[in-house]
Amino acid sequence: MAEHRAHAAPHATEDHKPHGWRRWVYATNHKDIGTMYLVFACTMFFVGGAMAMVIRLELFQPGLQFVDPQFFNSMTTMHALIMIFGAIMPAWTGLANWMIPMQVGAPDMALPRLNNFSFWILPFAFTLLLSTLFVPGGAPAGGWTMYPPLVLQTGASFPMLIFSVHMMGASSILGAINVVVTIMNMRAPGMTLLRMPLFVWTWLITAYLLIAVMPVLAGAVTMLLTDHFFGTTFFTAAGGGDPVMFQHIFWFFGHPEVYILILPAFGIISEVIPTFSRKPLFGYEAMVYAVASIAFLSFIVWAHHMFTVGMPLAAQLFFMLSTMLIAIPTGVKVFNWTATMWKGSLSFEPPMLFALAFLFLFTIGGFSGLMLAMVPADYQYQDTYFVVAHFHYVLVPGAIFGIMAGVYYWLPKWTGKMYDLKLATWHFWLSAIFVNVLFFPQHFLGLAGMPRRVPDYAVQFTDWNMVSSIGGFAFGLSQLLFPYVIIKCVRSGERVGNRAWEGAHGLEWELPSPPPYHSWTTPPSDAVIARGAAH
Amino acid sequence: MQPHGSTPATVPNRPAAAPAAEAERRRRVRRSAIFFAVIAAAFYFGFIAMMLARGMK
Repeated sequence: MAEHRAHAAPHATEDHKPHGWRRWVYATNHKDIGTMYLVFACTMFFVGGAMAMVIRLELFQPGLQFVDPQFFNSMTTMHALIMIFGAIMPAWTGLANWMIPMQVGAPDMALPRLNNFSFWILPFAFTLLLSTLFVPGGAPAGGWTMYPPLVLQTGASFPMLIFSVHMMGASSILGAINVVVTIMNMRAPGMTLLRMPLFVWTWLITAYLLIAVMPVLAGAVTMLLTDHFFGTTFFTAAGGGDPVMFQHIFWFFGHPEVYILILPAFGIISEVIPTFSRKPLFGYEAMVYAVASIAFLSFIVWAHHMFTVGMPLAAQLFFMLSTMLIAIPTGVKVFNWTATMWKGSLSFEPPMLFALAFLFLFTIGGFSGLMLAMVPADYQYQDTYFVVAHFHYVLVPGAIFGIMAGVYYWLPKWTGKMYDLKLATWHFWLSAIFVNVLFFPQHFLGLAGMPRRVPDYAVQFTDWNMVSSIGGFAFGLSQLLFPYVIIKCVRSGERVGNRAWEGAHGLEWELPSPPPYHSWTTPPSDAVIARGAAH
Repeated sequence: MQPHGSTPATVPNRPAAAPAAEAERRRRVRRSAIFFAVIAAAFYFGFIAMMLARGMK
């Protein structure tokens, strides 16, 4: 420590740390940018969540009560775009910014100014997207998938939608390039690839996915734009184009996107479970290969989202079987997390509680995914609430709980203070109970035939919709505890040491809490790296 | 349910990298960033070109 301080102390006074608004607008420090990403994601989570409350309010009873159908469809479209591109993805990038340099022994991200640019694109993108609520014709209402020809009927908000999606894509690509370049070039000597923490591994693979598929989305929306404004007919049947082709291109992006949203959660769960089991991760290398296999398979399963458009039997069989193959590496991961806990000395602090809920509830989402992978069954489930239940099980107790596990795990490291564990435990239990009240009944509604993206429904669906809405309101309210716990921690948390959790391993826990402005101004030694890589 | 207190940490560090090694690392960072940007651009233009080629058949 003395040696570290000897390096760090003079640096702390010469770290060019700007103050006031300049610190944030001109930020190049990975921690500052990570904080901005996380605050932005949290804000968008509540904006998108407010839209979900409007949806559940309208669906509380059959009939049209509060909003007109056009606005309802705008809410479903905007809720999805905001939650995917504004909440979950920026939250992962924020966690990556905070943790990757600290975990690989680097002083900062490889491209700090690009990092600043990647972040600052986002507020403009989402201001543009949200401002569509106030233009003539209203916000986009054709679904987040932007299928033509429906999306081409969007009013004045269409070019704003396309431009904002472009900006979100550019931000993600630049962020992903930064992550790959950092991991490949900035690791401390001795931090070999197979010594890296699982969170770094999952982010490396996620970043490759982003670089491969975000430009595909950008290409698809560019073609929509030229179809709308420049007379091309890429997706217009009247001019020889093919609207189904858009679906193929969109889902070539869209399915890997699902894994972009969930793979970093796998990394966090792989950090949290060993810490609170006080055991090394079971099957570290198998976990790395499982994540890589899932990423590879994600490129060859896209058409399972569109079985009902009509495709050759051979294609249906191929996409059905390739989708089912994903269950194998995913099963490896679930098995390894369970085996890590086996005979461990378990304790149930909030990060572990969220990780355990992830394990159970993400598996439910995985199983309903397998049901949807079966072509004959999918014909029944397509466009019903069963699909809504499936992907919300994957994304809320999957991705969102993963983010919460990560924030509760590393918050003491970031702030140097421990949060109110009792309040965070309350946050967990309210979230875990009401997320099930919210989404589990949607399986029944879907199996009974209730279509998605409708503001009104037949009366036989009323009871479960009421239950789901009550769960939704309670889940939404309970999320207010999350920022409260964080703010309370920052203001008045109890001081913690370097290693805030007894069983924690990894380079980040070797640094002081909170860590210095520049994390590893000189690379850590082999002994420190070996101690961190205790898997 | 107890958080765990301070671990007396010793963080023995290596000396900072030599200027030549640092310059080489900067070159690698720049080269790999440009490489991935080119790949992203290739996917973007490649899919549009593929659709154009398909439309001209």
